[in-house]
Amino acid sequence: MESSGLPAKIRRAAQLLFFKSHRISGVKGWELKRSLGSGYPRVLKALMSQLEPLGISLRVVGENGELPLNAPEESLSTARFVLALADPVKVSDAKTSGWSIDELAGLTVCLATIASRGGKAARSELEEIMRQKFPKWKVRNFLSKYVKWGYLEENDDSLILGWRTNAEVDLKSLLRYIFGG
Amino acid sequence: MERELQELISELTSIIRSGMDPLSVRLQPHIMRLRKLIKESLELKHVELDMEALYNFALLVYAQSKSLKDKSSVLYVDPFLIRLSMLGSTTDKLAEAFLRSWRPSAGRDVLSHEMMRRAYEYWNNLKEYNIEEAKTQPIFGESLESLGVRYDELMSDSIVELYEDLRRRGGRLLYEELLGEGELNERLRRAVLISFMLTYGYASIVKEPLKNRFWVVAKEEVGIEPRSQGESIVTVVS
Repeated sequence: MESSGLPAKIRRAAQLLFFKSHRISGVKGWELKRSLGSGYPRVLKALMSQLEPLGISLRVVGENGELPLNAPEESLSTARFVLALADPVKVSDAKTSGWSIDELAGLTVCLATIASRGGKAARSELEEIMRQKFPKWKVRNFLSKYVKWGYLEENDDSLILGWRTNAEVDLKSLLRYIFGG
Repeated sequence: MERELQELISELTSIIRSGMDPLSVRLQPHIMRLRKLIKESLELKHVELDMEALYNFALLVYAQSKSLKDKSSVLYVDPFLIRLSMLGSTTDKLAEAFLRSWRPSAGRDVLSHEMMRRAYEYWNNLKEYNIEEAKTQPIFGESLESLGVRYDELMSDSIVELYEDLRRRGGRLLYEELLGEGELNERLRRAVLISFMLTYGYASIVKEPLKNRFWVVAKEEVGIEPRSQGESIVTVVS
């Protein structure tokens, strides 16, 4: 098989999708098209048939949420293609990856509050809620970490959901679990 | 009438800014009020205020429409209920809720041989960086003497004389003018004296950023300002 054949394109797609640049995982649709040609959704489907048995899924995150691989080209072009774990993470695994329980709980509070406020919450409100469980220094530290990691984004004095939340978190489930579902 | 319109505008803006649920506001009484006021006068200043009030109505209606859209979405939960629920949960339970709805992105963050080969090529092709690095040293008594200034001179009348010279020449001179056009040694000596004159609070420096010039301005009352922020300016005396 020549180097421009499907297997070579699958390898190239895997390299692009796995490689992190500037802390942001994944690649934009137009970047995949430039590198793999206009038939890149077909290449991605072939790649996923090999990765899914390993517990890895592909998420296509557009401006207004997740998209299917057969979405219109103009939506796919600006969407971000991210490889994600298909199964939930265990507490012990999260701890091994460097997360503390407090960091996870703080992020839950932020995401749920912002989601319940229509996508935007005042920083002061988030600080106030978190300070009922954590000391002030920890709250400030957590918020700057969440912004740095891409889970939250700063918008004047407010915080909104970051690209990583859209790519990694199922907010509907999160809210259901908070209510004990 | 003007006052009434301004009151209406201020009520509307305070509702918008308050962060209260826009759907809890009854618009009809406000609209009836505005309708009555619009009919009363067609003077330009009143029409302008009418427009401003209408604009604020539009903002309020937009906020109501957005709130309605949010509440009708599947994601809507009452902020108060979610807050209560979170306060009643332990950090462990909150962490668990996140973990159950989180699918972290996968990525690799390692160097490949190809990347190292390219980096090596890039390194080899970089031009040599050969700007000489100068070391700075504190000035001691001997160094000052080599600039034509005696250490005891800094505590004597020389600085006061320089200050009075500045005042005689209008109290405001360009740094270069105060430095003079004499021999290099003399200019260096004056540069040191000017520096100490500024430090002792006899004068201040005013920057003119557009022309990249510095003015030395004599102070009426000599002394270091207690809360002033220190600043260093580097100049070349040639």
